[in-house]
Amino acid sequence: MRPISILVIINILLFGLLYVYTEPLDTSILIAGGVLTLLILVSYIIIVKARMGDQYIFLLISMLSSLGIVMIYRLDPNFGFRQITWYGLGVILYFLSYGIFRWIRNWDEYMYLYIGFGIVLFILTFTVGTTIKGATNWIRIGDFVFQPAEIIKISFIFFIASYFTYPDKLKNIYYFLGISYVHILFLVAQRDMGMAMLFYSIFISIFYVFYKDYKLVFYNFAAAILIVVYGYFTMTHVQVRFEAWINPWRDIAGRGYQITQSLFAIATGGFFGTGLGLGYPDYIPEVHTDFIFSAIAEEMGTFGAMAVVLLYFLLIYRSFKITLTIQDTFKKIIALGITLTYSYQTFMIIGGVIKLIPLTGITMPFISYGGSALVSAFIAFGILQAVSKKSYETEELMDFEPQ
Amino acid sequence: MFPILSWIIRYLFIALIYYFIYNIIRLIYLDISRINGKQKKKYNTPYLKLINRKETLDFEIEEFYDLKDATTIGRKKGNDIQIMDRFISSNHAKITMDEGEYFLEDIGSVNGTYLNTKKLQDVIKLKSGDRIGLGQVEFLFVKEVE
Amino acid sequence: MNPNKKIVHLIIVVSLLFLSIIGYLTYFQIFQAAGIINNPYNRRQWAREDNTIRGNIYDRRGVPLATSEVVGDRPVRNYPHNNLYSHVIGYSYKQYGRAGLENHYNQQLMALFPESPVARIREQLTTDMVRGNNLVLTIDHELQRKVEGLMRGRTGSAVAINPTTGEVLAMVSKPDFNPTTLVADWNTLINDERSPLINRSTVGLYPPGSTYKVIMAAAILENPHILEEEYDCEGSIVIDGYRLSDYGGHAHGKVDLKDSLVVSCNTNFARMTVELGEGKTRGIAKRFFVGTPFKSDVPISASRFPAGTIPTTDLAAIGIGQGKLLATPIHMALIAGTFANDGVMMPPYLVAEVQNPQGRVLNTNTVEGIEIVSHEIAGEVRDMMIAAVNRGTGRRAAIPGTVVGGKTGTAENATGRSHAWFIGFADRDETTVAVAVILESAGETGGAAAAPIAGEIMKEALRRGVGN
Repeated sequence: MRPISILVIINILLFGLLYVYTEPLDTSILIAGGVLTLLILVSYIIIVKARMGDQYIFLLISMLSSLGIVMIYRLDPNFGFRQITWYGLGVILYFLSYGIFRWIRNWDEYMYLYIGFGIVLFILTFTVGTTIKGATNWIRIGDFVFQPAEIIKISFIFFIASYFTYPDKLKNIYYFLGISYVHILFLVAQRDMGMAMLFYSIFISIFYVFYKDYKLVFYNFAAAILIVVYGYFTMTHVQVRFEAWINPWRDIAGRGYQITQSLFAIATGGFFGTGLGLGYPDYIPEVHTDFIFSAIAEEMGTFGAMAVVLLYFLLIYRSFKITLTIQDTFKKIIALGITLTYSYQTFMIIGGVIKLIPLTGITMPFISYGGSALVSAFIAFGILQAVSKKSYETEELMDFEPQ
Repeated sequence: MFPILSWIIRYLFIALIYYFIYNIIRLIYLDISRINGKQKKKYNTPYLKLINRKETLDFEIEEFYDLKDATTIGRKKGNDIQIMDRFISSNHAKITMDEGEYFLEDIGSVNGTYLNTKKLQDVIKLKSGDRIGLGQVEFLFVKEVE
Repeated sequence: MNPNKKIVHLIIVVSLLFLSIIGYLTYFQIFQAAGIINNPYNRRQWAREDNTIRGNIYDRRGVPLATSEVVGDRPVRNYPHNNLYSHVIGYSYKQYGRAGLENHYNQQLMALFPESPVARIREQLTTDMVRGNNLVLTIDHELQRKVEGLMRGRTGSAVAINPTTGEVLAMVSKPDFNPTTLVADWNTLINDERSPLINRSTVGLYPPGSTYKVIMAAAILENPHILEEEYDCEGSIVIDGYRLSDYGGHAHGKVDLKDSLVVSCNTNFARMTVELGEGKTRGIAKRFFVGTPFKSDVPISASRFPAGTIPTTDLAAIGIGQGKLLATPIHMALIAGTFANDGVMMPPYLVAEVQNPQGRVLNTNTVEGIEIVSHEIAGEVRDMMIAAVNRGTGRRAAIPGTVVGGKTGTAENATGRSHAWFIGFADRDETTVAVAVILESAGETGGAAAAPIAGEIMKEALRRGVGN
């Protein structure tokens, strides 16, 4: 059976189950599920027929998004419905960013634009931003809030890529380092430690790959560790997170509350889960955003949760493979940056909710509820899809080279 | 009622999602072995190269076909290139060599043979890089220039 | 270096990160999940609680000790004997969590993991309440009542075990509480300085005092070269500049090892322990699980033995059960039992069987003995303990017509009033019972206060024939 057919069957099963789950019976769930599945199907066929490059990326994204939407629907139908709307918008943006990225040829020439875009958005966040959950990292426009850092992620990658394509544009490497750290410092100042860590990991990884002087890479790495240690001793919210990780059981009712509730859920689920709708994931705070993985683990079991991890892994593997085939430096870094962003982000959130690493408030790509995160992920992978098209063409062209 | 359903679907779901993952891994594996296979190919004789992504076709097909003096393509057994595509006729097309040049000819197929998207009416000489279409399959004709 | 090569490094890093997630999830599910599910803060359990009839708990002869019934549409737990089993059975309340067997055997009592998937599905489908599994304890209800009566008004603990099987026959910790009225009494209980919620028998750590001499006697018998034919006890001894005295400064005169145990001569034991040396003293303690945890079906605090190098004065103190030595009452009962059981220690257990609601046995507890000292050494120490009861400090534990052995202890502690200890065993008609009794801050000697209680307990145990 083709993967796309399996995806359709899974969607039919899960949405059918959700339909029976809600009381009174609500046909709008079936309609929503149908629309979602149709949207996936049509988009997939377009990607295959129009030969838009890699076929697996979209398939994997759709599988992850479907699981996310089902879980969010089960937790709160209103959120579920909104998430489907976001998914629709995401798909449109996926194709748009695919088209725009291919249409404009000289992306690598606008380094200053990317820097300016990031810094301006950061400053905007500070001046007109709203504080949610202790971090000033949201901008409100009417009824709609979005997290600028989600979009800056992409401009940050573009900035790094354009720098390494034309390193002479900046006087020396220290200007580049300075601008990168400004991005990270803004995030620290917003108390968004998860994002700061993510930006730093992307930066240091690409720096490692494309900069020849190992010493400087090492100094940067060492400096970062010192800063983390310093941060631990000076910032109480960092200490709280760290202690909640080391021993959450000491203060179950307080600091350790979120993580222990998450562990209760995962433990209760066992390997096969309680079954959709039969667990109590709503005991976990923030379950539809940061902790959605625990809800999946409780109701779909650790096997279901591991399947999710594997799906991410395949997605990332695929993205890495595309990265490896690209010759053009700029596009290579763009692809690498996007791949790393979503690898690290996935690891940070899943590792956090299962208490493998300290918890950082970051969303789970494609699964967590949230408009800006979903939209920016679709834009990022739309760009990757565009890059993959190019890499596939080169692969075919290579066949003509006499050997 | 709901609990039984949820219990059954729980197992079904886990089975299906791993089946999904298995299929993707299998296809990616095929993809990689295709790239590896390509490197092993020695390009001495002219050959046909499959343009379609192999995994999009639901019948067996090779990535490369070497061309002989006369090569027949069709669904029936006995053809030099046998392809089980239901849009390909029993005896579909033929490629023949004459004085170092290769010629393509449709031998009475139902759905026709295409050369660079144009339907073939007569015997025609092939040049390297031509696209040959039959049924759902599209081949690239490759002939090295020495 | 080619960027692609370095990208491959990153692929390896990312693969390892993802692998660690899968690995940790598996580890978590296999090794940690069961413990976490039982955490009283896990609200999921309480959701299940409302439609589960907790299993009943019976004594070894089938007397109900804790039962459940359905009132209206909610299950209600009954503790018919109120205070009697406060520390054995414990309690289970949504507000205050669980303790005792209600806590350690919660999974079985709640039938949280039904035996077969079919049972699980049936459980999900029916709207009927789930019935938990029943527990049959090793406790003897009549003996428990007797022990509770003897300990009433005191502070401390008494434990009776069958040293040949490891069964705990009775276990009382005082002060106690009433699990039936726990909710109403909670504030009083947690503010009570005597800590009635603590089960002293299993988690109370006390200096063993002279009762520890039985272990030292075994060590000395294993190293006969340090024995002196006749040691002249002068009532005190100076070791490393510190003076160590006998109880009341009383000089025992010329004594051998047996006499030293019978009269509980501190000076001779201190001298012999110092001669024995740190290594062998630590070695024998380790064999008796002093300082290391031992297996049991309920959690028991590990007794303490000082870590690191031990100064000579401290070593002398260990020889008489003082210094930094601490032991739980149940552990001391096991030690006494080891000498009555040919040197073999049987790990203790409280639950004999787990039965499903229909009475089918799901699980039977059995334990394997651990040989601590040789048959001969155990026999010699046993004789000394019998002598200590026949003509020594433990005289008041004697039972006419019965072989009784034991050792008293009067342990100094931070409160200023000494703890009274008695550990021992009784043997009649193939029936053996071992006990440990401690009266906290009794201000009396073990021989005067603890030995009579221990004697009564052993007498009742033998009368009921529960020792075999």
